[in-house]
Amino acid sequence: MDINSVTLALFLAGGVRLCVPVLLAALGEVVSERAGVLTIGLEGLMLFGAVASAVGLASTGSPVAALAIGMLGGLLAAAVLSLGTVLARANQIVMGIGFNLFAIGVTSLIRQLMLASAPPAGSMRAVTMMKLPWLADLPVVGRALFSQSPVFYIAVLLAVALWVMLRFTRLGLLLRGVGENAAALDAAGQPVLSLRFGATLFTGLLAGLGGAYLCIVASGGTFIDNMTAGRGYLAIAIAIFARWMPLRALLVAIALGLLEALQFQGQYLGINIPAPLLMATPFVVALIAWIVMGRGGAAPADLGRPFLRGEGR
Amino acid sequence: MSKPYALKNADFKRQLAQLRLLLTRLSVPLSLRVTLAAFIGSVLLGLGLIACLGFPVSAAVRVAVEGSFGDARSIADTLVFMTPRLLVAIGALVAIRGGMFNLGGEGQLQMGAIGAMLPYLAFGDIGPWLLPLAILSGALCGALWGVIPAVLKLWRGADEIIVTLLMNFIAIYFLKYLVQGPMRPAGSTFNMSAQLPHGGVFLPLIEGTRLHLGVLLAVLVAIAVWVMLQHSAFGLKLRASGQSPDFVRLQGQSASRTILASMALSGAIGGLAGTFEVLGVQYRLIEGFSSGLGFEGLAVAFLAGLEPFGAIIVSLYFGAINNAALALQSALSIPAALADVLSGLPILLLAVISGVMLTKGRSVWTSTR
Repeated sequence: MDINSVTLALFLAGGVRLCVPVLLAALGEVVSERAGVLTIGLEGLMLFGAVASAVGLASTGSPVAALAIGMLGGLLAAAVLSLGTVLARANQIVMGIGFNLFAIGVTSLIRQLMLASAPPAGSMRAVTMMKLPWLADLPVVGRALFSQSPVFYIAVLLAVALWVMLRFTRLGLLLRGVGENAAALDAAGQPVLSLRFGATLFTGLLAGLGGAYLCIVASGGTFIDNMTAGRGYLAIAIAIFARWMPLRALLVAIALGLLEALQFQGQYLGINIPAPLLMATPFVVALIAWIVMGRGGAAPADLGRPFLRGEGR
Repeated sequence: MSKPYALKNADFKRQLAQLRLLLTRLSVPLSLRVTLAAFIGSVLLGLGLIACLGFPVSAAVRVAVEGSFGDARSIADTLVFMTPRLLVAIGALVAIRGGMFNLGGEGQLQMGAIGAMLPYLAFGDIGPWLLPLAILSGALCGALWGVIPAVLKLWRGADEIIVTLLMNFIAIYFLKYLVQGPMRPAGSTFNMSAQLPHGGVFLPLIEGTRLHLGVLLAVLVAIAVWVMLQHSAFGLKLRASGQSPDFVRLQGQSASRTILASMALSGAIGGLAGTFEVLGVQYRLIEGFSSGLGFEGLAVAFLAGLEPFGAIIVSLYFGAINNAALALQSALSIPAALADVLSGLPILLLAVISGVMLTKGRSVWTSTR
């Protein structure tokens, strides 16, 4: 390989690596929004996942266990959040904003009380790199796509699985139904609240894994206060921009990850833009795309409306 | 809703009597009682948390009260902490009352802070003109940042919730870029701009405290917004377009002008929050000066039921909590992150309580959506 293709491969690999947390959170958001729940608290769910994984790493020493504990943290946090938004029918935007504030405080408190200043020493290799047999040897794309963290492969498989689930299965039909017209589903005897509760829990699981990836894989097990830095909000934008389609969310997330990767490899590619401006580009591009494409599309009709029996449209 | 059953006369009379009873019992409005319950609940939860962490509760209460209201200095600090949260909340509620869900307080605050520096960077130290110019420029930058989502909504139908949320982070990184590059004085290694001259900032009003003019201006802005909302034609139009856009349209009024004006005003007030932080607290533009003030301000607006006077009281609570948390950290080494927990809790509780009340058929949340 000549030097240019090495640079290109590194750049692509960097973009893919950076997209994983946002991709997982966006897939979670797709599911909950399809079920009619606007999870503005995504940022907070990711933070809980991140801090839980840091605690998990400190107590087990195993990065794989840490990722699992991160998912569990996201799940528990989502249970609290959806107690409010789904069961108590709280305003989803208000609850989300409050939950994110609360999450910043609680996770920082956990860091100060339970975490040492440095993560335990140990190899993260089990979660940072998994070369897929023979695919990893392909030129350029081998390094970019097939020498990634196993979490990335899980995320891609999840995107495909969610597409199949939403499109072809009974559960997918029910989830979409509860987002389109909860009253009709209720009249048909389907458990509206359980479906929405389950969808939000699933969102917590994925956002938790995204946060755990951020903490364990991307920053070597160190939890930093507010380390999500707006990625949760970006994931919400991706979910909506991808028109609640998992495979589109995958593509959009990778594209935005590549933009963010420019800050590390940009200089070698002859692009010299200050780091803060590059950090802003995913947000700018998401905004521009949002404007150019307009809203349109098929937003779940009951998105953001708490379900209350007898309050149909 | 339910089918229109014919009401029997007796039923109707009984319902009226019940309603009257409800009204007389509620000399304190329902929403106020709910809000109080949310606050008391969250303070109790906070104390429980302090106890669970093994800190002495009675000492913590004493330190917290003395630290936030004990003497002139601590009261001044509480008011200084209150100011940006109050302004963001007032800005947010102007837009939300008009039907625009402006969640971009953080971004407007960042742009206001940038705007506060521009006159000095452009003209240098020009004496007494610098301060009013800085305020004007900060408000203008905030207004500009606020008008963009309104234009995008009118022009492309882009939902303002997502646009304002995204624009927050664009503004945060833009400010970072400025203080790491163009605005950083040559030879400096810190991510901050040059300091403003003493004639161009809000100096402390009372010696030995941090109380600055911005605190008084913020309260004046809150009162002015209340007068505007309740006693002006524009305020009426604003509230009408928030509560019933169709009504405004059928009246032949232009909804778009109201949307643009309300977002400009909202952004300007949010911008002032950042401007006053620069002029009254930091005296310069500095990376990470906000730490989520914009989101806290949003929480204040919701907790206050989108009422300006409510926002004054709620932001005073937020200021006190943040000030008390610092006192608790230095006196008892309780982590100051407790402040964020206690800022998030009341709104979670309020959202849940009002949701539960809704399920019982009593809406305490006047939503504009």
